[in-house]
Amino acid sequence: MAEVREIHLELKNEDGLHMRPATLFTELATRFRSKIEVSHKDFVADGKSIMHILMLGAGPGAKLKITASGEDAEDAINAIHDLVAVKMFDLSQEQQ
Amino acid sequence: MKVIKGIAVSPGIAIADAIVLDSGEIRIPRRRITEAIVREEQDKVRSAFASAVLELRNFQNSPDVHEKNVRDIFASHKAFLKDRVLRKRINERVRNELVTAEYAISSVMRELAEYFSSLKDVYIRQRASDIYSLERRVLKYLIDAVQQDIQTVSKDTVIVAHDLTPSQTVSLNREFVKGFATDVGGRTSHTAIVARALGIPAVVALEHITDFAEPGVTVIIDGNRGYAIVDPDEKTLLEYRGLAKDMKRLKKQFAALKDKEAVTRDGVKITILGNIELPDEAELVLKNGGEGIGLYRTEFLYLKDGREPSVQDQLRAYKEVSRIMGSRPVVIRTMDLGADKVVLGGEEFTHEHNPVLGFKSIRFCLENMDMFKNQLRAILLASGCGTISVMIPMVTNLYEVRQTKMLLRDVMEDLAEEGISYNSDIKFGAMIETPSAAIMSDRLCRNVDFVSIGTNDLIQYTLAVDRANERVATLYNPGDPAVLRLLRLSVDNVLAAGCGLSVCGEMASDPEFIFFLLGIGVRTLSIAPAMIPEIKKVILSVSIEECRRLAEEARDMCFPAQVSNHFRAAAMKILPETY
Repeated sequence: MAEVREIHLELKNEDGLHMRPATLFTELATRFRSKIEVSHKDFVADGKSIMHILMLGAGPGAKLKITASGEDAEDAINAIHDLVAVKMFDLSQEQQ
Repeated sequence: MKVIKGIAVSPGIAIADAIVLDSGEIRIPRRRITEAIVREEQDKVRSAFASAVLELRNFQNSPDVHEKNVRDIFASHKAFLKDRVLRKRINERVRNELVTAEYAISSVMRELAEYFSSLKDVYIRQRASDIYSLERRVLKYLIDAVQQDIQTVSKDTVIVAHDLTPSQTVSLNREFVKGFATDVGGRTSHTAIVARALGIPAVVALEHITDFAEPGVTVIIDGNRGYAIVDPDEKTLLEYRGLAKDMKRLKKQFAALKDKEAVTRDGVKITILGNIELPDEAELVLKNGGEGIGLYRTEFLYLKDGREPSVQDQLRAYKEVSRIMGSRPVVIRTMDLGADKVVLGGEEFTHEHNPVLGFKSIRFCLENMDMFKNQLRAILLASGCGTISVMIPMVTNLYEVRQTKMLLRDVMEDLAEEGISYNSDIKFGAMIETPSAAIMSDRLCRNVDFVSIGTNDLIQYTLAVDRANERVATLYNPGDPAVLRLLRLSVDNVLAAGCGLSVCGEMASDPEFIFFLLGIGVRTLSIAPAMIPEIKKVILSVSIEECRRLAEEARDMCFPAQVSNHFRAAAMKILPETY
């Protein structure tokens, strides 16, 4: 039975979803079987495609809506929350 | 069928299936494929991406890469290349638009790069350059694959390319490559030089031929008139096949003239020399019955590797030509660089508004004194063997001549001090290829041992027409009365001064203008090696008396068309078989 989970997140890291965080994001997303979509403004990206994620053009402070649908949707959303809200923020601290 | 006009750089006609080469650096032409090979092209996409990913993985794991952020860059690039959405988009483009793998990859990635550069976020905007570098990384595998094709061709082929690099041209299979056609280039492009050296028909500056020619399609290269015809219709094909046959027959006839002296019907001896760029071409001059080298263009030495050749490299080339020619004359023209022939620190030229009126030829030489002296040294070092003389290009004033002579003397003194022998009597000449040199030719002659009239540039500068500019190219006309007058003036001056005289340039290999040149007193012609037999045939068929009369009749003509009709009518009478 497919579940759908949704989360709204604000990008706190300094550079937004540029190459390195986008790589991390897609690496994480691919680990889940659920379909993961990231929306920013009008654009909806496939969360497993680095090309799509970069095409969001999500800079610092961007408000993202992330939807996971599939049997591991809950785990996916939790992991993504952890990555975007905590690890990616750490990443930009690390770069300071 | 598509007929494209370019610049004819090597005469002859070639008809064969095309191999199309892409330029990795510039742009991948949109070429269509058939439904049947969609799968094949998609396989190519997959294997190119796989190779690129492997390459990145090796970089990433290389023990030389210590820095984490560098490894991260490789990791992100790898993630990008493994992106299924990207791959899907490329494969869809191949299928939906029926285009080649390389075009699909290039166009999708470039769209992406353009999209990124349009974004507001500066960090993401900069990713455009990552995409371009990824594009090159992937395409490299596809383009290398195509390039290998040209070394392994085993049937008659015509090469269609954006341009050819020296390394590509040396690896060509000379047995099967029947002709060249390129998007860019001029008379001194690598393609042109190599084509002439090999005696293979070639047309360059065709602009977008790589867009129209698909691999395997039939292409006709008309190296006489400067056309490339892609996918000719039956009628054109037949026409050209006939023409090619006629030319083959004529060639055979001409070949029989090889050892015959070029003497007019009334017994005047005309000297026919060859224009060359590569030492190899000297052989071709002899094979075709030429009596020496009237113009050895040395630019290729500089263009080949994009840097100054060493004195030793130059010496080797000059000696090679001299060895082949034995005691026959060899006129070495110093480097004619600048404008379209840009190399060495070439950045500064590319921004000139009017490069042909700019920093080039002798102007460039005199500003790059060390380089120029190196060349003069190499020429002097070679001067001991054979009959070598030196000539400078594009003179516009006497300072240039005097300054060069001073430099030449300096180099001679250096050699004398070092106890190195050279020919201290080496003949020194100048090109007349600007109106100022033509107008001042009486004075110019007092400062040199000989001159050579370069008609191509002289026409361009006299008529203020850039031949490469198609909107005005039709104004470029050797039959323009102004050109004829300037030629007559120069020849009169040079002969009156008792100075050596030759004419090099395309006019000297056009039967119609040979009448004129012989008529005004020219006795030495320097032409493309492949044209020698034909021109010899023309000379054997005319008398100086006729030529004089024809030239005289043209004296007061006011319009190029009158001049052309006048000489064409004469040519048809004298040489009915070639018309």
